[in-house]
Amino acid sequence: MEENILVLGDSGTGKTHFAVQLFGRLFKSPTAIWKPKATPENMEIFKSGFERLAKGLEIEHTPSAFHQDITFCVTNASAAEINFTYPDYAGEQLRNLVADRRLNRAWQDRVQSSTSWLLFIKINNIKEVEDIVTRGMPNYGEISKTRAEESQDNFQLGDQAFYTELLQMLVRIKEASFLMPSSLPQLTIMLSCWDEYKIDNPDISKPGTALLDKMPLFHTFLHANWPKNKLKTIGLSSTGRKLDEKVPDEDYLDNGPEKFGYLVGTNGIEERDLTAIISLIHND
Amino acid sequence: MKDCLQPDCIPDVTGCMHGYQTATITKCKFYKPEQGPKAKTERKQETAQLIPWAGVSLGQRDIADLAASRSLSMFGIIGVQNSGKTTLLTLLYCLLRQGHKIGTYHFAGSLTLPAWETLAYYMTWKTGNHITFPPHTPGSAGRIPGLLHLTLMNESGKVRDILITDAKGEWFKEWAVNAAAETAQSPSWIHEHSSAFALVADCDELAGPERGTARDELKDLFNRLVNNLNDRPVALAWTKSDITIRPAMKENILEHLKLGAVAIPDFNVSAYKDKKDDLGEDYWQLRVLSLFDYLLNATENKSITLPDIPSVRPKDLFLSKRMK
Repeated sequence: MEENILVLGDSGTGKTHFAVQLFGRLFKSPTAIWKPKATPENMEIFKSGFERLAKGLEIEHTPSAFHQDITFCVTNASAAEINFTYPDYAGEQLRNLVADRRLNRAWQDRVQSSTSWLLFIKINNIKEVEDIVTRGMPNYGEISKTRAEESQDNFQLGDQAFYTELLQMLVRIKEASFLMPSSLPQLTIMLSCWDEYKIDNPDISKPGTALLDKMPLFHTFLHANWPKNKLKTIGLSSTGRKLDEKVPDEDYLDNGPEKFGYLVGTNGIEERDLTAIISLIHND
Repeated sequence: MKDCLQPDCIPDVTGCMHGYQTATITKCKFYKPEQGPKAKTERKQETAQLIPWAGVSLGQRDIADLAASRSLSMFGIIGVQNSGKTTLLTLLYCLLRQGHKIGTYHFAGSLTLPAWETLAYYMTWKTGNHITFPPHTPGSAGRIPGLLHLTLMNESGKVRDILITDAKGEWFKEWAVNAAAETAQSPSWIHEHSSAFALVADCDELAGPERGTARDELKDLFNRLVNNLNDRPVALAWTKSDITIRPAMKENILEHLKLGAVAIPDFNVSAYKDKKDDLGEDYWQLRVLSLFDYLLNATENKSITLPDIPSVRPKDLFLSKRMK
């Protein structure tokens, strides 16, 4: 069966770094199980990415004017095919999509034809909520007894609600239903920049634990709705370390970007072969 | 809100299909700005009306989803103005957001997430901002109160859909006096359709100089509530429990509740944390979970059929979740 993976993620969640590193390996590694079926039509985004990493530099932020789908197909010895689709590559639309609850036709088609979703979340950027439960109420004098006519101009959904709402919406657009788990696509939560997260949280080894710790509401939502065999939470460090925009990383210059980057499986074990993600999604 | 001639393109939402950015969008040949200053004003007002009440905006599609639910309950929150009904709901969501469970049930989804988040926004610390109580619940047109939704699931996979009402407090006062009053339509609707009730007793009022009036209002409300109750469960929430009410007052009220012929458990809740109690400082907040746990258990296996809820804008697929 053909698999269509829809790659989803807010801007700055590391989708580009992942694509560039994954694709670089698929192209340059003769022993890889998975191989690109054909060169993608538009290599522009990869080309500049390869160049940046070869120089040991961070890949620049994808300009929001880059309104193009990126698709590529990989295949293995038994001729299984997996299509990756990066919709509206720049990704800024994801927030708008949830806030405004509208999807254009192209997006609807992509969602409906997808069989698997790869959702990028930069776990270290998830803000801790400080509310009356976590931090308590202010002292009596500090809280206004009269209801403040507080402006809601700055209101936006918190991270947990945002990702929950996004998936609820996508499920509906896919015409799947939580009442019918078999209708749900495979879901892989990619906790990106795992190396940065580990620096702050050295004691947490399993990506699932990190998700529960940072996003308990979203975590319970996922586990309540997705069958176990369709849900995975994986740690990802596409570049293995934080790269600078201007100062080249010496090790990158010496060894090449293909020597860096790793995955952390659901069991917390590191996997240096980034292409293993494909087998993971493919349920091999 | 649409600035483009092409049917599927909504530039300020999905981005221009032809790749023009905000600064250059006027160059797109399909771009057609909405009518001048008037449109701008309307847009601004829409943002300003970013209010939490999902209520009337539960859409038809959502209702279809809920009708498919195997287990739907509606909890009517009954209490006069300023008694803390909305804060009680906000607290429930803030607790769920931190991963707390309601008894054995945990969060599994919501058709009104933006509404919950908007409420929680008031009680979330923001840079340079103070915490405030949620604003007064505005009146919605017609009989249908604000409805907040939760899907819950327990360890063995049992799913419950819960609607919680959030109606304007003033109306309850009128309802207690005259259930046929036009302004009492919403409380009457809640009373008719809910699976269970939480009656809200405001400790601040019951401890204050107007406590005699507050006590009588509460009793009136209770008397109305137990009329045609048909064995539906009722719980009492002592809101603002950080304020101590005199034992005589408490006893007086609890004595009156016995007239209802149903056992009415009571729960001490507050948005404040308690520093004195043996059970830990979260005691008052966590009792909110106990309250809803009671309501959930008391309505187990008693699914209701959702009353007909007219949709305001039936064409909108995501009506219930629209914030603007």
